[in-house]
Amino acid sequence: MLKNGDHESKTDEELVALTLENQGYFLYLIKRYEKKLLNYIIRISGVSKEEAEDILQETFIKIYQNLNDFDTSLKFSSWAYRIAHNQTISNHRKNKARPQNIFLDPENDFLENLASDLDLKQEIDLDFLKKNINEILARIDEKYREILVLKFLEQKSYKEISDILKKPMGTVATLINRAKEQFREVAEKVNIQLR
Amino acid sequence: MNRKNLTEQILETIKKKRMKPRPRWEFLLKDYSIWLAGIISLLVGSLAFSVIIHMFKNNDWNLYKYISDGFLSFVLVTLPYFWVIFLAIFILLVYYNFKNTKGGYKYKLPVVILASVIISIVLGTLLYDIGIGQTIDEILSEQISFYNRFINPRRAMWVRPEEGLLAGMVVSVTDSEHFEVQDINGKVWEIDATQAITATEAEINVSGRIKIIGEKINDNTFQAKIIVAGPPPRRWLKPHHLFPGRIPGMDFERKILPMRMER
Repeated sequence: MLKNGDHESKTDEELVALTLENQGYFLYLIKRYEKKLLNYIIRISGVSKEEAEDILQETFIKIYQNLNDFDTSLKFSSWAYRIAHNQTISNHRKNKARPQNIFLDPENDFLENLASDLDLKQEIDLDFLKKNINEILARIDEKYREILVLKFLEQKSYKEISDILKKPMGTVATLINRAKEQFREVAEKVNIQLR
Repeated sequence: MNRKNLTEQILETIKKKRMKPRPRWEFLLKDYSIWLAGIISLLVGSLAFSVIIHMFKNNDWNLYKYISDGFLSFVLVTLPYFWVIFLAIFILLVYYNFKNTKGGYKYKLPVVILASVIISIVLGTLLYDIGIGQTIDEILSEQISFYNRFINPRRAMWVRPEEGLLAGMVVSVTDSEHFEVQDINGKVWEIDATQAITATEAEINVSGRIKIIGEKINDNTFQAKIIVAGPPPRRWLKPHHLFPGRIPGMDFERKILPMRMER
């Protein structure tokens, strides 16, 4: 096994190769991604933390079982997010219910990024938007919510989003535009005046 | 469940259930199977396209006024619907398989469909060029009863001597105006071509395939007015004789394909 701190210098791909030789190294991959993936699952699904942890556990087990299928032309993070996305969808289908509550950390950069991209900064009161963001996100379509989360919260590139959602880059760009448009419409409905 | 417990729980589950990463060969087998299915679909689509070219090129375009009520009805009757649908299905299968390959998601539907169509056209043209389209069409015509009835009725259109249409292979030649033709039902006809206009490419030689527009004089004799070349002999899987067996469903074609002879 690696000495304390050694794993930090290893790339994800190196840890995957080490895990395939020795199961114990999987611990480092879990530690590296558990928080990111847990937040991602909660953000796109709106499930409770307990339920998200169950999904996360299933996600890591899938990652482990499918390590030999990891395509090194992708970033490991994209592949892991893809499995988390699929597991969340699968879980969602089992439970059927549409999530009603989305809880975003108001201190995160999501609103800053989104407002900047939508050219809203001069137009609206960010504090007001922060107060209403959960309501807005809960109202927009899941596919748009997820793409907004990936783009503005997880700050993934178009290529990474394309790899995570398994959609062509052109489609990703179209989805982002539509998501922003729907975000505007819903925001206007909750009385936030946008340009 | 806190985060520490979560990590431990995942590792414990893996150990407890003695989970192992699935072997690499399983994934490779799946990937190769998808690619193989896609390539087979592409090949089958190309074969269909080669038959479509064959049917278009041998559709008697210059004779349509003798064998149908008009150009439009001729086109509607002779379009290779089955093969076009067949091609479309296999192009969709190519798309489906390609999308399920590892990198297939990167390409949009129109790009994949367009690429499949272009490859099918190029490959299909090559296959047609080496005679595969004709071979498939003729073998299916000979072996499958409903093929002539529903899929390619054009071949059977030419065995209606009562309506002035006859096609077959020259089996003996007395001279260029008197010879014998065996139709696709195996019946031998004496041909009187003394008043016939014969297309230059029509071969009045033994084994030559010809189509004749004219008039049935009696049960054994046919008066030719126009003689054109039939399809060339196929290059693959040649039959022992050119037109073996009867064409099933001949009466049916007679009903669905009204003929008009201009005399």
